[in-house]
Amino acid sequence: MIGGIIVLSIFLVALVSMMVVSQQYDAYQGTVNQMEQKDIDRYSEQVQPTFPGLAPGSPSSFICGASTCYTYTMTVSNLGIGTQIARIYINSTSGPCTTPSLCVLNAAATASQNAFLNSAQFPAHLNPGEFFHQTELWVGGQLPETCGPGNSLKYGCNTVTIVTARGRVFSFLFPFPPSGLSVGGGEGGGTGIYIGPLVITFNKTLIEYTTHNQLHPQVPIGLNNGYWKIPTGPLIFYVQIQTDVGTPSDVYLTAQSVFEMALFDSPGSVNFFFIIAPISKSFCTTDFSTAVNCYLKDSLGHDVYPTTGGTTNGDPNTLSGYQACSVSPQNYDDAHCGKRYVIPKPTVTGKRGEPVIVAFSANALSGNNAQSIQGSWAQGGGRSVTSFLGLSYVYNTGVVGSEYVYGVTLPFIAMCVVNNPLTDSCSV
Amino acid sequence: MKIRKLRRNLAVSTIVANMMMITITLSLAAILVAWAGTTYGSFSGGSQLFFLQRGQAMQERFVVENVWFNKTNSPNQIMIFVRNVGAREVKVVGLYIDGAPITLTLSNVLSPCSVSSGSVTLVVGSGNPNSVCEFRIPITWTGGHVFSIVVASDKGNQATYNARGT
Repeated sequence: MIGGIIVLSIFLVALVSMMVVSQQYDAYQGTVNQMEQKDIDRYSEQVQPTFPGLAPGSPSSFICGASTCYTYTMTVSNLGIGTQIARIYINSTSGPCTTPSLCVLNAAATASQNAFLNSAQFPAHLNPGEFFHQTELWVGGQLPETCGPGNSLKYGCNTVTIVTARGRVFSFLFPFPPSGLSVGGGEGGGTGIYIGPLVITFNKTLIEYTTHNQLHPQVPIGLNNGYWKIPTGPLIFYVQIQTDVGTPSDVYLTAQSVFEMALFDSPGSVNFFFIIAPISKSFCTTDFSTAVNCYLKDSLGHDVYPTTGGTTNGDPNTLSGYQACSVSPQNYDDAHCGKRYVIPKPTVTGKRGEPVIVAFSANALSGNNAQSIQGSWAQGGGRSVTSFLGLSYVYNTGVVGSEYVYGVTLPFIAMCVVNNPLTDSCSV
Repeated sequence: MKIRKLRRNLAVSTIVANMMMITITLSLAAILVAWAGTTYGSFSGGSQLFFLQRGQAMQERFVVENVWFNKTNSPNQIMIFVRNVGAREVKVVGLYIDGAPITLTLSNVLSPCSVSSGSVTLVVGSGNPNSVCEFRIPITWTGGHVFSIVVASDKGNQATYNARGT
């Protein structure tokens, strides 16, 4: 009996001990489950910025406390579970949030510098699936919308980083890069002309020119009244052209492509600038690379610059014509026609193709002489001209053998002809 | 006479012998039970401590939410923002950049956070300004170098972050 009691006692002690350990393990496992759930919640967050990302508020600036606040409204969509914005970081290329003053915005109930509003109207909490949630925030100055000269970025001058209360980080660029362009790409997404497979995007560097005395490409923007001004006399125009998203094949420009210019008050007076030989590689890399994308390769990786024959080097006095090529569209390529202008198809899904600089200058089809703008067009303080871009090109719909020659005429830019764009104002 | 002699040579009586056996047995039983109790007690106590510490460590969650390279100041600085997103406070006791320990007192912890008893405490709750702390590490670097940043807590947890210097 005593032995039984002993055994029973030991058994009970062991049982109690095991129960205690089990309880502790259960409590620990509960903690593990709780924290795992927190991790799952964390990874279920998905905050996405919505165009325009940030928008200046009204009024854009006002005195708040002892400082001046510039107000912005941030728009985001919540594609995940409910979440709360804990902090916002803004880092800019210039302005109030530039190194070393990285802007760190915390939640606040009232307007204060470097804060965002957490109120009933602008809550910091985002409901699950909430679209276009707006958050009002204040910084100590205007955030830059252009990155400024000398900066490699044309978009995304501000990096906005949203930190949630669960520790997730979501970032976006402001201003948004246009769809299909990189942050270093051309400007003005949505303001271009889309016709067939080609896109011409309007921005300040869309068109440039050179003259015999101005061999470095000059953007035709005058210093007075903001007009796009060009000089009289012989000159070469350079236009950036690229293929649109989804273009199935490379596009070959033909010699019939022409840039036409007409006096706005005398539409019958027209100057035409036919396409000339592709620009040389050295000219492109040394003179265009700082201002525009300098396209180097076609979609197959081939160098697009002529290695033999005539090239364009910027001087209208030494033009090389872009020879017409009377072959069937199926044979319209470098092998049959000499070096052609190739506007390459996009190499990345959802993106446009790389822009190509196309030169126009000849006063005749495949000609070697430059068109000259009459001095009379600059009389009276300069005259306004309208222009048209006629493009003739060959491409296929993605099936070899379906090549076709297409021709389009695009309404193009208006400019002012003056004697000296750098000094003369335009009276129009 | 004979009987007396016999009685003088007898061992302990049956009763005494039984009592002795019972006493010894009970003593051994008590020792055994005490030994078992101590053993199981220390086992359960040890496991309690083990699970308690593991549970506390499990409740810790902290992240490096932003790293910023400041080349304007002299000396140059790496600004590291660490946030507590867990269920209990976090005591940061160590910072390592590329494997080299950074002394917390030299890490320029920005107010309202501060170094106390060799650690920086991050409290719970995103609304509390002490839930996120900024460390400004004076260091020099060349552009493009990728830093491996490790933040360590007193519970043995780590938050790692790789950032390329600009």
